[in-house]
Amino acid sequence: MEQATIARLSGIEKRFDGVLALADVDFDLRAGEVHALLGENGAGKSTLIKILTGVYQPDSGRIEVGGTATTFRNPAEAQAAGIATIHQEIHLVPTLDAVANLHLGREPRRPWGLVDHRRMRREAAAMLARYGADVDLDRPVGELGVAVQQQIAIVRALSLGGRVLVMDEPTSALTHREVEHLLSITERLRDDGIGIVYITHRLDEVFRLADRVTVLRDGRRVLTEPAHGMDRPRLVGAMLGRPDTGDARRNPTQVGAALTVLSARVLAREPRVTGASLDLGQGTILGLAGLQGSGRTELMRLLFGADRPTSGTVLLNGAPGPRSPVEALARGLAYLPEDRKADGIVPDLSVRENLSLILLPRLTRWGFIRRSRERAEVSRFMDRLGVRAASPETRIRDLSGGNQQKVLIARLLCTAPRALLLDDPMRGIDVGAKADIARLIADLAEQGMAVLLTSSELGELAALSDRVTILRDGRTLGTLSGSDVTFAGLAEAIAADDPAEAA
Amino acid sequence: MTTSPATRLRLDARLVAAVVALILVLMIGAWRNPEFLGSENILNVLRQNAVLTLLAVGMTFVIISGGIDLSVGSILAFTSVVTVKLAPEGLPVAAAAAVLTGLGLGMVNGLLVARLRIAPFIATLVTLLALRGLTLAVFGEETVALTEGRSEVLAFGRGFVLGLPVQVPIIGVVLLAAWVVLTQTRFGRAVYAVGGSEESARLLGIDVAATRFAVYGLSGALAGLAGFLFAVRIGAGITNYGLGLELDAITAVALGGTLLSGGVGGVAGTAVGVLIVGFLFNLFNLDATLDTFLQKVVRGGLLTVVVVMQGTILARRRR
Amino acid sequence: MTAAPTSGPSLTGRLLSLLRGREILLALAVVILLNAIFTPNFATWRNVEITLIQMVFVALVATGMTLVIATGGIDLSVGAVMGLASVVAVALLPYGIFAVTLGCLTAGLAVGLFNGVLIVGFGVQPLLVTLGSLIWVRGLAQYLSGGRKEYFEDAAMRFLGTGRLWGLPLQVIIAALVVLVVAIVAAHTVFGRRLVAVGGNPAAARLAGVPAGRTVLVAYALCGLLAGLAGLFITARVGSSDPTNFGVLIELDAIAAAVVGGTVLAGGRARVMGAAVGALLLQLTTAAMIMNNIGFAVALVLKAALILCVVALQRGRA
Repeated sequence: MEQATIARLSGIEKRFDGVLALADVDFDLRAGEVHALLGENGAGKSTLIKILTGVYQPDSGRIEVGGTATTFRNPAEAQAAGIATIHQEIHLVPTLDAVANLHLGREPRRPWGLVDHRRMRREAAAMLARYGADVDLDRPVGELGVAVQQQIAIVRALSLGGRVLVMDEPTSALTHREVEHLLSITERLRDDGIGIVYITHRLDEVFRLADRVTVLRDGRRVLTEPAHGMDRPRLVGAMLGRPDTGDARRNPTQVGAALTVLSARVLAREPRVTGASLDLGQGTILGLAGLQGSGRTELMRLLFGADRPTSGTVLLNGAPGPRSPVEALARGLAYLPEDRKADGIVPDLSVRENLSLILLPRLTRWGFIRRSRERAEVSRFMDRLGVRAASPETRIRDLSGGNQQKVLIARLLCTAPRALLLDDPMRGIDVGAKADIARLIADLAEQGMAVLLTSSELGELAALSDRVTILRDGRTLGTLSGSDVTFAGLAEAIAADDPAEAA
Repeated sequence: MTTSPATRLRLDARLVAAVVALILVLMIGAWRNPEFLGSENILNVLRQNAVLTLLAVGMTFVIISGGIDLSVGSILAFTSVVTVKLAPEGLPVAAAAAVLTGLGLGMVNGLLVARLRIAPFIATLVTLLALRGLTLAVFGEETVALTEGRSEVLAFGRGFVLGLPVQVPIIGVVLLAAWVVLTQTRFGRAVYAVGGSEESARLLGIDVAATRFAVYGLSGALAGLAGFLFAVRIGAGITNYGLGLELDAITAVALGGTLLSGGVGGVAGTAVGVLIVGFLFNLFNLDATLDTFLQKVVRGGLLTVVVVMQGTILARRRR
Repeated sequence: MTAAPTSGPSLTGRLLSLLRGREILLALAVVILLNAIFTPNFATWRNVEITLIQMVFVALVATGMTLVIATGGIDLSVGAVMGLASVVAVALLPYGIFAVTLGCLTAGLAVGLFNGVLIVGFGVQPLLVTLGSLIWVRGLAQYLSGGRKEYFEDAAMRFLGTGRLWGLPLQVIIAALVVLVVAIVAAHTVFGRRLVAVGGNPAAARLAGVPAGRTVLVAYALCGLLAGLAGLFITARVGSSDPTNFGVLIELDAIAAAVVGGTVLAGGRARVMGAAVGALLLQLTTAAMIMNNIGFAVALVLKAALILCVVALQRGRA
């Protein structure tokens, strides 16, 4: 039986600095349903949600709540209209306790404007109990586990009387049991008639909880269907790209005999990486396939030495793995971060300065940078990668995403590494640059480079990789090679029900 | 903060440490000097640190909200001269003028921080500078002595009420009011929230800008009152006094258990912190073995030590 | 495959692009022009010399401050270091000018390292650390000297203070050289590049293999060192130590000069030459106000307003 629509977004368009984040997106939510919203990072999920919750305003399109067209100028207005949000980063004040957080901004008062402590505590306890949340009321919430914080956040969000609840990747940092608890809370809310927008990467949750599913990709709505009976591989395929992306695959060479450059055994760093093992051979490209949230970036950082593992081992050229980026680079291992804005570029410096940053120790004579040599190296790499910039002196933040990425890759190559960790190198860049970079990676492997590669585009991954290891929830599940490395094959593998997980 | 037992326990841990430190200072003082714990000395210390207490209370609000106010010393200097100039109109008028002036100056800080979003340290540093200049430009000489009605004013400033120096009940009332506002009103809780996480507070619907604005205004107003108290005790306004008092205030606040990173702490702790600083330096004065300048080294060193301790605690917690 | 070069720009176009990010030169030109018109005796050689002599201290301190601000930090203790250095200088006089110089530089370096270690090693906010140092260093200087100024007569020091070389004041020559050297270091060495990388994006810098901690530590050490040098210079010029008054509020001048010169408070840029120009601008403005009988007090207010405007503009552009 179809329930009433309680919220609807139509024809939403949003740009940032001229870059299209959302194009003509429709989304509607019914009372008493869980509507899952799926899509890789950069697909536009976050932006859509921020528009629904009043953080952003759409450039065009309509928002309707309860049948009435509205606009939200800020989060407070969205809250007032009954839209409650549980963000990925818990938005509670960590230094205050649960009672304080639940009532913040709306504390019940006694005469003279004094806050009614006793009533606050009573009401807080009641609210939490109603949803089955077991919370220590007196400790600062920052000291309570993420799961508990989340429960508090949910209770607060709903206590405002909203009928719409947006849950943004609520289970990403929870243990198995906590996830169960959260899912049952969510089901209870749904049965109460709340409309829930559920954003997640975990397909199991989608199929367990969702009534309908919407997939966004590259800022567009790709699919909206009832979840029941949906084909899982089709879902993965919709999220991770077109089956026919990418150039002709490089000829899969004899990978069996390749010398192992980098290997990991049961590598873990809670909560994101729980047991990853892989072998990367010289002159081969190993793809790492998995949805966002499967621990791709965290695993790469562990391999690179940017983070320390809590257990497991890494071997680089037979010796224990690097303990810092400086050591890694010195030993010929280089890493391209996923988020180039936060971890990659120094935005106010020029292309030249960014490019030569890694190279600095080799460009110097008595501490002075040999400008002529720097310029020579810079232009060599800019040519080799086809970096389009007015000049090497242009500020790197003024370059297109694709060109920024090329500069960062060039920077890595400057150190003459023997192994590369590329974290979603082709994300957020134009088609031409993608082709350039794909070709470059293939060439590098041909010349003997060992490459570990992740991608949000399964098709690209399939096209480039010799072998692909599947990663889910921080665990490696197996490796596909040869003729199994196709878009369809990878989608199947990622989507497959893992019998061990059903426990 | 709620008055539930565990929270009180947590707050008390830092407070207890502060009280222990205070007791230590008192014990050492009593051991070194028989008059130290005598009523005359204690009352003297209370009177002399009234000004610092007011600055520290204002600073408590600002620091809990995640900011800092380096201009309070300069506000004090300015309002001390305002007090002297208006003393002939009667003390209540002078007091009101001083407080209102302080409030206005504090609101300038509030504007810079909350509206123009300038980093608190640079905003209040700029105010400090501008105020020094303004004070000299408007009032000219360095020390503006009270001439008309001097004896009446001094009688008040150095007088007693119920056996206590007149500053003590004033400070007592301020401390109590501050405690009530901070722990029992919505505004107070908003201050804690903004300091704990500005982003979360904003998303939870708190008007962060207004809270910040109010906090700096309050700090300024209290500095204004401090200027008034200072002037009536000395019988003069001094235009370049106070440079360095803000540091003592920050030290007192930090010693009392308020984390300089914001979001945690309270007025009770600040009161203890002021007493620690006050009695410590009283001890140095009585003892006369510690050179005045070495005292300065201790002053700065104390702040450094407290700051490093808080930094290490925070770092450990983060890891 | 780089893009085709832009077609030849007009003369004004080229001038404008040179000036962009260097608006300070324009401001400098304006101030000079106004002074030339309105201030008597402005456009004389003597006046130029006086200006240069008087801005030496701020220029040196501002240079060090620029390095520290580039990392996203601040150092409020530089004035106190000057006071300490002057005391050390006088104490070491009997041992000759080399000992004096070494002593001053060491004192500054030591304080700088102290600040740096606390900031890098203990993760304490630079503001708070240097705020504490501001007090205890000044107190130390006063304690070591009993709070007194000590006048002295020393030929070498007199030469350092007021002597001339090739017709120019010695201090101006040395200061100019120092500023130039630091500017070159900031722009052309590995250290300088690492400095702005750490300030611009610490996470990216670390992942690119930059030793962030060491770089920041050196910045604070250099800042202290340069303050020590400034302390030596002022002692030589004035002919006495003055633990109480040397360097008071100079940190604000230094911040103003650095910020006006194009170094952003949030870090990521190190315009050393800009800071020098900023110091010049400040000196000219202050002198102009004095010569036109605008009080020192008003000068303070104007200085404050200047810092405010520049900082607010920086925020706007960020």
